[in-house]
Amino acid sequence: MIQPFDFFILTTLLAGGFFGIFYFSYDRGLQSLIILFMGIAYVLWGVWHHKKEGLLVFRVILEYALFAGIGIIILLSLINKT
Amino acid sequence: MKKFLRNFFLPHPDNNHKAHALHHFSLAAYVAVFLLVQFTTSALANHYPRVLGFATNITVNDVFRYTNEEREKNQISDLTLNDKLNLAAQRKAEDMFSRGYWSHNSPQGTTPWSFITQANYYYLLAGENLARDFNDSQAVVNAWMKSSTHKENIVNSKYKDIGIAVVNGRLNGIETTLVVQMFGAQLNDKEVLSSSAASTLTQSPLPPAPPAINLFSLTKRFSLVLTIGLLILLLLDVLLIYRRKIFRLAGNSLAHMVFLIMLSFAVALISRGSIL
Repeated sequence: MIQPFDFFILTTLLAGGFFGIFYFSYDRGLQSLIILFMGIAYVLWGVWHHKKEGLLVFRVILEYALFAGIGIIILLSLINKT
Repeated sequence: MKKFLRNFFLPHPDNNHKAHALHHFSLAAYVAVFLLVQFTTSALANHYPRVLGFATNITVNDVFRYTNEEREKNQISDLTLNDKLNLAAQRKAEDMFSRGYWSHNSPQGTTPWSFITQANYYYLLAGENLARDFNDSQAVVNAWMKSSTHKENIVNSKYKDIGIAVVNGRLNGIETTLVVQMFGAQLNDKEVLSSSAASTLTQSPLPPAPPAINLFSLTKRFSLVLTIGLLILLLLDVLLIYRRKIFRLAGNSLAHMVFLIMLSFAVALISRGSIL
């Protein structure tokens, strides 16, 4: 079951973050902060979404954290490649 | 073998309706492998910079051309490439490498203007733009144009001359390319003298040489393979779980897909480089 409002929030959060990464191009410090906040926001969204559904268990949080971790590591590796 | 592949890539009752490739252990393994590859390639790049490192396609001529194109867009006369400013820019880049700093002023307090006067260019106005770690000349000029202070130098009608240096080397242990752009108007330039009562100094900075394998591109490709691979697995997961009408206590695969789609775009579009 797709919850349009939840996905609207998620898409807005992520799109805002990615816009920030490009808007602050060449400012690596700020880009790194935005990437970390996006990762945290993704995990928090997952917790909120699953809590609403009454399906929140630890392994679900861990799954979101691992996907967020993949995203954070990939983006940080790319922007810090010198 | 067939069963192993099915359980690894597709949700099935045998794997509790979740592909092994999407299990926590696998996700953690991707993170670990990615980090291992990053550390290994970075270490190799440090030991064999000619084989694995950062390749750039920046040339003095291209930076000069794109800079003048930006001036033309603003109906400002072209700059002239000046040998003395070229020498000053070259010495500034070499100084940054030899003293290990990334700044307009050296740790000893040497200003950009010292390099200009030491090259026997006596200026009424002077400016400096710096950049590093870019892939090509157009990206360097674009980055400067996005920054108001650097743009001010590029489209300043009072500047008549320009000097550019693109130097590859090792800055604080990292193989890189520095780009130095120096602007100037000489003391004997009557036009500038008539429109400016006093000397003004403005400053703003630029990038490294090509090895056999470009580390940035390698990381980018590896990242894209990982994200797109995960996206395909999630798509199969969503379709099969929806078709079989299975309830599963797990993360929302559709949310993961949204996250990975955005991530793929970011990976594809992200570019290297910093300016000063």
